[in-house]
Amino acid sequence: MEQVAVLGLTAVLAYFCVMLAYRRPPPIRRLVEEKLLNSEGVRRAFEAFGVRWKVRVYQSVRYLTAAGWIVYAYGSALMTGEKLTTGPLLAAALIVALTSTIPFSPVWWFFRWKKRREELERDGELIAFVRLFEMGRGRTSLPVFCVQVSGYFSALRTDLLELSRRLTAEGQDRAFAWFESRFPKRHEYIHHVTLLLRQPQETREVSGFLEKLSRSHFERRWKLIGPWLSVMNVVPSFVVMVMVVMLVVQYVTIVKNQIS
Amino acid sequence: MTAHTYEGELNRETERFVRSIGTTFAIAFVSEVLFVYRTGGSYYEAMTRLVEAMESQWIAVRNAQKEAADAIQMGAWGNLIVTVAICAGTAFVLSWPVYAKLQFQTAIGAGFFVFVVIGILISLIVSLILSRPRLDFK
Repeated sequence: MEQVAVLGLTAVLAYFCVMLAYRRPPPIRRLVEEKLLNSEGVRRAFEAFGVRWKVRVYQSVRYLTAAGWIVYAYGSALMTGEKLTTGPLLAAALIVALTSTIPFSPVWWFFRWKKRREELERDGELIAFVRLFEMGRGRTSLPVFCVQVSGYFSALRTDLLELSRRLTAEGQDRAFAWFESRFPKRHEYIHHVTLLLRQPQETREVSGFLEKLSRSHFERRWKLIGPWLSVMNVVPSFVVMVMVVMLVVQYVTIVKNQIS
Repeated sequence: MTAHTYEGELNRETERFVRSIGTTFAIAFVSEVLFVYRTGGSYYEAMTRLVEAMESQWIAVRNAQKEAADAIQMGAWGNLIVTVAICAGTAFVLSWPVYAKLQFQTAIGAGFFVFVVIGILISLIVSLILSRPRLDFK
């Protein structure tokens, strides 16, 4: 009897799926397309963090995982004849919530960390670029120099090529303004770099200055890490103490119950 | 340098070197050597300046690491020692079978055990990574 019911339910579900696939009513389809698959918020978050994933694929994976888990959990519960609980629904909601890109979600933190790493990498390459520029100062014109050395810097390559193109096409001011816009707004030394590129003969030893700035930032970061590291490393020991106390209390209650 | 007859091969090897070391100084070193090789000029000045920059950054890295040394040592081995000592002491007082039942067959014991193991693993990994900082500005 149960098997017949399960088979009937599956047939009804399959019928609905086929119907939806063939004769999807426009409003639902539009809703799914706009709100779920091509979500505006997710697209904006991807753009803000420079992530080159496809929004459609990301959203599909998220929701299909959640839906698949619901189908699997309730399907197996139906097959074994267990009671249906709200657990799988909560788990699916948790999956969707944890993979969302709203601020302060795990994925958001991950993107932020990734973006920070990329920025640091670009900063390092910028320092190397300035060192190189100071070595070959005045030997070639700036656009030619940018094209020449762009091959050495993987993270800056496209920017340097574009800068060279804009220098010849649009003139210095607009080209350098564009180059500055390619870096974060409150970058520490991009203005110094463009100043050096503008007047190569007048400024001296900019690379040493950049290295000093980067070093002070490095030290500040480590000083910030210190307290968090201490907290993180003390927590396990502290939890062990609490655990032992709890175990002993439990032991005492069990013994007390047996005596009385 | 002369072994690389082809431009593409040289570029590939350069990228491999930079990727395997991946620091600002590696990029600076490779780009400066290649630049001097192509345009002519002396390696000497460039390398001297690079060595000076690396040296002062190395001092900064050592100083930063010295400040966090206590926390790093605590995370790497202190946690493990404390945990083993306290658990062994409790087991000795309560006798091992009782302790094992309390620890692994009750909800509180098992939950705390999982939490402690995960916490120790995380702090161990982070501390081991931080105990060997790279010579870089990152």
